[in-house]
Amino acid sequence: MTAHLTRVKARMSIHAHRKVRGLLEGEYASMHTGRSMDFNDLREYVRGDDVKDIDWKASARSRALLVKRYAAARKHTILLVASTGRSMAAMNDLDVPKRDLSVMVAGVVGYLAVRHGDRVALAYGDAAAQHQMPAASGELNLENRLAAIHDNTLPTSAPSDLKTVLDYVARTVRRRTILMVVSDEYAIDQELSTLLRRLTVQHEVLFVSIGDLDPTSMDVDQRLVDIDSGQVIPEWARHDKRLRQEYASLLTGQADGMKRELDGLGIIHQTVHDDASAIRAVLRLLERHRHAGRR
Amino acid sequence: MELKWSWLPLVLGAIVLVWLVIWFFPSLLRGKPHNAVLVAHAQRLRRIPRFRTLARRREIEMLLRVVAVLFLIGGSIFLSSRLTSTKTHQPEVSNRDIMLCLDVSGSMTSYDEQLAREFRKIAEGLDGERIGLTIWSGVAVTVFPLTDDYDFVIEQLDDAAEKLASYDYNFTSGTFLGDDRGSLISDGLVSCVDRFDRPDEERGRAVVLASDNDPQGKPIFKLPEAAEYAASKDVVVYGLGTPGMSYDPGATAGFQDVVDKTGGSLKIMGEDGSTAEIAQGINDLEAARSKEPARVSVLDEPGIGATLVTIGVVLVVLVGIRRRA
Repeated sequence: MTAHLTRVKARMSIHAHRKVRGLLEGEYASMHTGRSMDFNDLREYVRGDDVKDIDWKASARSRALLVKRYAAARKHTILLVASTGRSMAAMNDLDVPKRDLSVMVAGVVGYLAVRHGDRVALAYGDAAAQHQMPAASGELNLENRLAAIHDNTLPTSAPSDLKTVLDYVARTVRRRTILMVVSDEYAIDQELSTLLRRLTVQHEVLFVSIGDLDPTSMDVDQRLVDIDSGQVIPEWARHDKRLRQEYASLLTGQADGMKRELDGLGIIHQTVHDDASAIRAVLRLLERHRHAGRR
Repeated sequence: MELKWSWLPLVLGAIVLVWLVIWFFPSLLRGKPHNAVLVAHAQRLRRIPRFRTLARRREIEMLLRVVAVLFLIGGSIFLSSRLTSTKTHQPEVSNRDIMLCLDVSGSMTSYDEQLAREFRKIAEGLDGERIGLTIWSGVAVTVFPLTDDYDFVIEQLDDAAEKLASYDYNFTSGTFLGDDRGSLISDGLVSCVDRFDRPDEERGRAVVLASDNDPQGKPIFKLPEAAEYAASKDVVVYGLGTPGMSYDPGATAGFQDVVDKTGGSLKIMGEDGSTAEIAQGINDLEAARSKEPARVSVLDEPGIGATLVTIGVVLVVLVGIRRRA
């Protein structure tokens, strides 16, 4: 098993500037807004409190039974929703599969959460099957979840189907979470929009889309094969300037449409175009999430 | 038109067919292309108008190439399997000799011009034969020997007709020896039979004998002897009698015997179609007599194959130029 988390940490340390440090130190967008959560906030025990939460030392000093409120209130659940259909097994560029980017994005968010003491759950799937891994804290659990994303995203998998996965999440997840969608959708249609609207009611939704390899700008001898149709991208289509421009404008148009749709839904959205900018893109996403209007 | 190696196009065609099947249905033999870079959502590319334009252009180009290759293959198959045509030669067609044998005795002077013109008609009706003209009375004189130069023949016959019409004795002088002998049909026939050259060759030989069969003086050969001589040499005698012969039944009968013995026919000149019938008779008889089998020659016909290959090469070059451009 490859150490996915190790790689994420290594990449993050390269980006160890102020923003990262800020995030690591706990400047993390909170669901429970409008109330300061002090670490030392203790209150008297009332019936119904968990016995595990009793701070015995403090109780001994003050002669009253005190419970820690901090831990219970600050623990968030990050739900990583990863599309693991076969399109995610395709390449992002010649060296990096989209799958690796997906793991990297999920890993950065998951690591920040784990460092923060939050719990990370995973929901993943394709058109054929959807699965869940329960919320758990700790780096080992995160590693397992990242491995699940990595190992289930294969060229032989069923086609990607984000709608089915999101529908599965909507049906099965009851608690309120920070929902982090990692997929390679390039357009939001009516059905997906309805699903996302439904999810935003329950969760904080973050949306990351992974970009595709641009077949018109690949100047290599290798064949390019569309993973869904199995069709070879003809070699002559890869050298035409006008086609390249028209394809680029098509992508721009689709990205704009997607941004408009997601902005309309109030979902923070970020596209990860390539490996080099992946970490920065995720940090920008989290930054924007922090500054987004609190509800 | 036929193929010399008719099995070769079948074999080559089968190979080409297999190749086409493999080419058109690559999935039958090849699996998924290995060592391929997988791309997702590349189908978006196909919806771009520019892609369709390029695809159509490419399609035309490839179509031209395929056509060119098919032309090349077709031409090569034609060339390699040796398209041949068979030609049957009838060598005997040009294997016939006809000696025109004209009586220029005194009794014939009123007919000779007309006879010469009849000969001319006969000469015009023939095809591929050699023709000669011999005139005779007491003895025989060759006006021109056997030749296939028809222009010369017509010219000579016209000339003879002219000279006979003007009673030009210089023309006929060689046929008189100064004695009273003349119009010796039997000697004339034998002389004419002797005019045939190349005795060792298998050739159809015919004499067109024009005479009134009114010999004066003692001939060397009697008429039946002359007929037998002609028959022994396989010479067919076609008789061309004069209207005046009708007054002498013996002359007509003797003449008839001669032509019968050699397998020819006797016509009285001036009757409708007389010369045409003789010409036809010569053609028919000689064709029927030809024993030599038709010679069959097989000729290579590289024209079609070479044309196809040339078209293919030109197409390949044109497509190449277009692609380079």
